[in-house]
Amino acid sequence: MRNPRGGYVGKVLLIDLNAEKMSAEDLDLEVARRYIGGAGYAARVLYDSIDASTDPLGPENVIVFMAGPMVGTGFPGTTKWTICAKSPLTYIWGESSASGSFGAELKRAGFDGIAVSGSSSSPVMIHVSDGDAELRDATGFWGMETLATAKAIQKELDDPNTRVACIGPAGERLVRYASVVTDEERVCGRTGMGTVMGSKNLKAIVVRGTEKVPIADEQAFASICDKARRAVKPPNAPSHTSDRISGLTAHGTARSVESLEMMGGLPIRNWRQGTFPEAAKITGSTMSKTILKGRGMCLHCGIIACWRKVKVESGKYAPVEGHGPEYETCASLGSLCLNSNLESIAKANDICNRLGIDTISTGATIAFAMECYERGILTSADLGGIPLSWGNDEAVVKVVELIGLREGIGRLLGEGVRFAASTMGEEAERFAVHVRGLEVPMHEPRRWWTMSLAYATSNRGACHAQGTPAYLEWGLIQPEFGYEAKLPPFKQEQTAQATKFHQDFNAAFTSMGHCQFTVGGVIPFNIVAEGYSSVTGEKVDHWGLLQKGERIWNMKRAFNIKMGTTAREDTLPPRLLEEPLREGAAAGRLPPLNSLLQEYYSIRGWRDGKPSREKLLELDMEDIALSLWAE
Amino acid sequence: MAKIRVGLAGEIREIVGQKELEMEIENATVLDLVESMAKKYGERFRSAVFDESGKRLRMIVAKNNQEIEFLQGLDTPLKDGDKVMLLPPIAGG
Repeated sequence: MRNPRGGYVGKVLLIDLNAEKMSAEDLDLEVARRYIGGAGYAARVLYDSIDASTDPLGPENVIVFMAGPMVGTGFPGTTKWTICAKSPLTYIWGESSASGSFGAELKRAGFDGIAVSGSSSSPVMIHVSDGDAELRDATGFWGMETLATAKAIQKELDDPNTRVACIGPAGERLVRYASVVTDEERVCGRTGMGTVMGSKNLKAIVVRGTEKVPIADEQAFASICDKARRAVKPPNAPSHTSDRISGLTAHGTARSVESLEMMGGLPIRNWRQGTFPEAAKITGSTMSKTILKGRGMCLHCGIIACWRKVKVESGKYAPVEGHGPEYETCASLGSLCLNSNLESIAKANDICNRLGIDTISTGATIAFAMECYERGILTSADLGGIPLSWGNDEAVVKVVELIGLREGIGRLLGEGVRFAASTMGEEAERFAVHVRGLEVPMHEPRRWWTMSLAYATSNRGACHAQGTPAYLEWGLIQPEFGYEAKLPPFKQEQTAQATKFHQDFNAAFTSMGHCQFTVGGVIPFNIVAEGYSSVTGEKVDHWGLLQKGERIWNMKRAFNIKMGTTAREDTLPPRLLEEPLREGAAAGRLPPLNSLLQEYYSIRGWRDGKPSREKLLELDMEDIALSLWAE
Repeated sequence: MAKIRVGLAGEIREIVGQKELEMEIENATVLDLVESMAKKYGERFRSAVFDESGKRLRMIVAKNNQEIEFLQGLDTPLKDGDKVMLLPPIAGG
């Protein structure tokens, strides 16, 4: 017999910290069907409760923790859970996802999501266990680092399998890009979701349960899981799939550092330099030979195992023991700062995770500060005597700590690149590399032109995870959607269409709970759609899921328009738009962004960057059309 | 003889033991160059560069910063002074 709410446990926990009240409400299954769940569901809900006047750090902001319909089912690669709120870094749509076990445990505890409004007068944590929820005093954990907090909570509850998502000192002290870290050291890094938790005196969300996620058609589901696993194993897997899996398994995401440098795609020296001869020192294969101590994988992965476990046992950065730096971190705290000391990157990564700050924004802000120091905009006195010169690995580690503790120069740099630059004047703003206030992640848009458009139009500011069309330039193709060959470089043709496709694609699979590594060029999306249908009972193919992704993308765009954004912010910072690199494989290239944008708006059915009434009606979004186009 | 500069990254760099080297080869294509290197550097090099079929490259191969998919593939001709890069595929991050 089919379960009518397959994929969803059917409840959302609403918590008002002002009134110390909580209630379990039914999940709106109609909204879930249209917006999938996860971040898509959150976008539709938050559209009604947040507006342009909402202070992201005020009690009126609402923070939502969601796990989509595939999470907890056991389908390969479905562990992604998401936090959404108005971002204190960008003042628009804030969203950050992590993998690991937390999302599945949230659903086992009886909820598809938790929405928190208000602010507590003293530190609290939310404890959810098998459908029951309570607010608990967290005063004793306030001030503790993230991983120590998680362990202490597990000890207090006498349950090592309780899953914890918490903030560290950075979130408590309102560093604008504070992260949320789980007991498994998986991180919701981007857009300051940890800062929002800190503003509410909310130290942690703690979940534990035994409920099974309902599946509409168990028999079909088992068969499709098997089909998905067989599709990624030789000899069934196409070559681009097996290459991707073997590379990530062997050397992790950081495997790409060296290749990207040689192809002109690695950001270097605050985006000023096209080559970094020392890239081999910080690449994944070097990590494998030096500090790597083990590999691991998320619950229900069974395919890739991209986790790195590293240990630094001696030298000036010892001790370090924990998750190893990802590609983004090796680039942001490495090449972007001209830092080629891998142990220092592992140390800085460890500090970021323990104090609870995003490694991308941290590295990007330090690289910005290094350029300020070089130009005399920041002096040694401003920096408390730290010589923040290019490649100074000790200085990088020291400043990471100051940011996480919001001490010394960390008070300014903890504001992020945009706010820091705004206090320094026009010269600094020209090399402040952000879009809508979010520091640009580590894929060079002058090399990957699809990323220029993806960054300029991403709903959370410059983002590599809400659409990574560069996959199609790298050969991580999606034949089921007609992308059967690698996109040619430095060509305008296909760029706008591919960017739109990948944004809608990511919006869909992220809301479902899929990891991008297991669907981007790995499990064919028609099989993923079969999995979704068997779980939810809704018959939909991969094109149907793509349309849901388009609806989600337009929903988040509508949210941002409500926050006051316009097409004027659909751009890149001057450094990436006007300053070509002088060396390397991308030398002399600049993306034709204005032309790409016009094509993109046309393909999206948008007018001046705003979803048209016709497009919204086509996507079955009458309520949003009425709201956005009210005359 | 044409002198071809070869740039290497990741595991293929580790097999060869250097990041850049020069190969001398006459009237060659990219395939000739890779086969010549496979003879010189042995089975580990060959299995890192070619898949199980022995025909398809596992690596990104570029000539003068252009990926060979957009040139003439493995039949892309080489001339004196060209630079060929053999790089592990980009897996995302």
